[in-house]
Amino acid sequence: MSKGKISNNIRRLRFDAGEMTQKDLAEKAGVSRQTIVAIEAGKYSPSLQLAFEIAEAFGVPIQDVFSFERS
Amino acid sequence: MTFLEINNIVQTLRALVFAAIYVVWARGAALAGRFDGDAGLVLLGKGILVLIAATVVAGIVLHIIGMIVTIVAGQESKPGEMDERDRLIELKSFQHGFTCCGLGLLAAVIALWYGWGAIWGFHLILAGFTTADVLVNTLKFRAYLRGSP
Repeated sequence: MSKGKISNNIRRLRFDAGEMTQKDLAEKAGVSRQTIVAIEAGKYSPSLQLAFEIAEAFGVPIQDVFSFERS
Repeated sequence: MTFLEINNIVQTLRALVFAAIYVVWARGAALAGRFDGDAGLVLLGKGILVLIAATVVAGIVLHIIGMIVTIVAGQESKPGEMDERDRLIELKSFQHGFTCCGLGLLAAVIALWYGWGAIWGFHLILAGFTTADVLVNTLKFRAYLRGSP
């Protein structure tokens, strides 16, 4: 499998959603705030299901939240 | 720090304290010659059973106390609830723990092969389990600090 990096726009999307807090997003996605912190910082790549949950919390398609950059 | 992070520190300390208590007891018994012969194996069996029971009970009690304190302090509404990242962290840490247990067992078999006696064999297995207990909690805590499994 080729290596790559999954980046995200969660910080910008939270801002666009009226400064949605990490805690609010965590509750909507059904995970802990620490997991959202780790995803936002690019330290943890979520499962496909969680990625869809996060996209749904913002009401946007998944590709607007996450992107894959091949290295 | 979250409940899961604090719990990892507490459980690591719990494992170290019980291991230290056991080492002190076992050293005393060995110096007094109470591990000699078949009666020694009986004493060792009782000692290990008491250690396992005390460790399990202490682990559960500390976990429950931690949950109650966290709820009363209002830090988390559902302490101890795990999501996919927590489960992944736990799984990866346990992977190393199992390796440690396996190494303890292997060391015990090698010790028996070299004629060290059953007492040494059991203690090497016990050392493997205790090291695994400490290692699992330490690795979990490190993963939580890093943010990734």
